[in-house]
Amino acid sequence: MFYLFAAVCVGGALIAVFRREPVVGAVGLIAMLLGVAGVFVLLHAHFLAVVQVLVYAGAVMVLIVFVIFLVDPRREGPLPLRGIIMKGFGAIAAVFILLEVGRAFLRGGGSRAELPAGFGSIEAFGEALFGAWLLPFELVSALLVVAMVAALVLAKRRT
Amino acid sequence: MTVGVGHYLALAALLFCIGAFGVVLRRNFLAVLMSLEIMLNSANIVFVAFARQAGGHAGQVIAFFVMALAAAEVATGLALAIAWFRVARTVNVDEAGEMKH
Repeated sequence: MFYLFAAVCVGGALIAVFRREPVVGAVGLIAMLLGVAGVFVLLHAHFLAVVQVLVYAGAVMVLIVFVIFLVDPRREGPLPLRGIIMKGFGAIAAVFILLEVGRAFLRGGGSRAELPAGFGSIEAFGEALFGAWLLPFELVSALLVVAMVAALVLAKRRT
Repeated sequence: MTVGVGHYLALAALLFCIGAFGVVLRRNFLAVLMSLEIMLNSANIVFVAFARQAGGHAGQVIAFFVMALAAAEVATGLALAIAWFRVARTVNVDEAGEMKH
């Protein structure tokens, strides 16, 4: 199951980055977000998976697609890959990153903590969220209000 | 081979690199925002994977906060894109020479 979701994630991300039509990229991004939701389920984060589908694949992507249709961006030209020095640096960095990723992939596990009963259930998540993390939670709500006001002010048509 | 935390870290690193590539190379502002979303999601995978590894909920709570942050970022970013498009009729970041209006 992990490999299925991982393939969906990577494939969607590649489509989102490498296709030049923004709408096709948005569809790829939706696929990637749903794949990440699947990964969250595998990691016993059921509440986060639901929030991922509702908030990300739902609200955020509707917003992005709406703005894509609104501004109707032209097709981009080919990706600007130029400069022999930058290509060299990029190749070296890519090799290092691939080596590290491969090492992490081959090493795999490591010891896992025994899961307490009800790990990842909404009850346990809520206990953590409204217990130790209550103040950051309230600050996040303030952040969302600020972002909403900022979006309204920025997008308002000036007369 | 059982799937361990290393597999999730490798997946997150791959996604992060793809997203960073998009942020650096794409010229369309909306595509840059979408690549940023990919990077934030890869960070979320790492948080949740280590929450599973440690058997605590702190990582999941932080991933939840990152989601709220990403929603706020998208809202303001898209509002900026609309305001910018109204002035300059473009969302190409190469043509963003002037922020005055």
